[in-house]
Amino acid sequence: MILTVKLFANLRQGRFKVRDMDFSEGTTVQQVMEYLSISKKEMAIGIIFINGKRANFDSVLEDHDTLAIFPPVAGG
Amino acid sequence: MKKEMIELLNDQQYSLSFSISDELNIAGKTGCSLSQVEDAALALGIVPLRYQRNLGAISIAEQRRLLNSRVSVIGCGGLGGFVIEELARLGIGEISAWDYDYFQEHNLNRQLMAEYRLIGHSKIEAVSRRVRRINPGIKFYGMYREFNEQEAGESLKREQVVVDALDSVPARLELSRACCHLGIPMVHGAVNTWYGQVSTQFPGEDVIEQIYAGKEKYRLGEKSVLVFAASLVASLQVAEVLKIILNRGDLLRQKIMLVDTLSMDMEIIDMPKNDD
Repeated sequence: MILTVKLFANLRQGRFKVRDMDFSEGTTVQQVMEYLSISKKEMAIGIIFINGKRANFDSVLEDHDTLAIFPPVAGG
Repeated sequence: MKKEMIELLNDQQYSLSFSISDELNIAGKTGCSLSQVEDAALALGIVPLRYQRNLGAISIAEQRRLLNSRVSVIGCGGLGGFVIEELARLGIGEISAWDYDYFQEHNLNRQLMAEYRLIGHSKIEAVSRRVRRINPGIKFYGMYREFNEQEAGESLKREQVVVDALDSVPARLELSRACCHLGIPMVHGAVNTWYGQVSTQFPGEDVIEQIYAGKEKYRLGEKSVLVFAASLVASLQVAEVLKIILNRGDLLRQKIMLVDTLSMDMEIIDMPKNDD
């Protein structure tokens, strides 16, 4: 199945802003993040959306879903 | 006193040019404060020169509304310095600012109020001086203390808008709870390296909880902040403050704007209220 993956802020570094990617049926958000070598800490911090709706690591993705992940920052 | 002031304002050709020295002159003659003189002038349609280039973007009545507004800025670091500078230049009549810290050399890369000669000096004192130099009519209240939820109640209840220029997750969650409790809108901003985020939260809304709850123990990102990321996010926060006060334009409510100066893009993400 084809997913559109959108990354924000420092998650883009060494990766990409947006990319269509092919994954097998039943892939979870966590599996996509592991495939992209996103660290455990970044995973814990990241805010996840599927098709604009809040999701979590265990959410199962479907064909043509858009997965977006942003890591909030807290500096001032 | 006020009658005398109005007579003086009406007697002169101030509609063409009403300078700070004119304001000081009238304040001196009548015993009124600069903000009283400015308020009376704006009510008569006379615009102080310092605000002349605001007009067009905003009306005389709106400039007067800013003069009679009160905004609190929590944190006088990278974001807070730029936020306060811009609030003062816009003509917000009353500004309070919170910070307990002193300038250190590693603040010089990004904090507007930080100067080499002020290393070791209080940030609040520097901000206070700066505000007086930009706009002596502003009533500035320096809160030389660390923000905490308990103290906030008494101190923040008069504010119309609170600006989050803090630098930690737990403090932001505390500020969000305090603002919700007191019924005050809060404009959130945060920065890290090349990136930043902005959102506006009204009482009863939950964007700050959605962003930060459960992340209190994490350091989010690096210690580094580039100056243009700080000034950009601060400017976006001030634009939100202005629109809240004037009840104009569109706000980032239940949304977050993500700013990326490395890829040079901005994106707004909807974060609808979590009703669970």
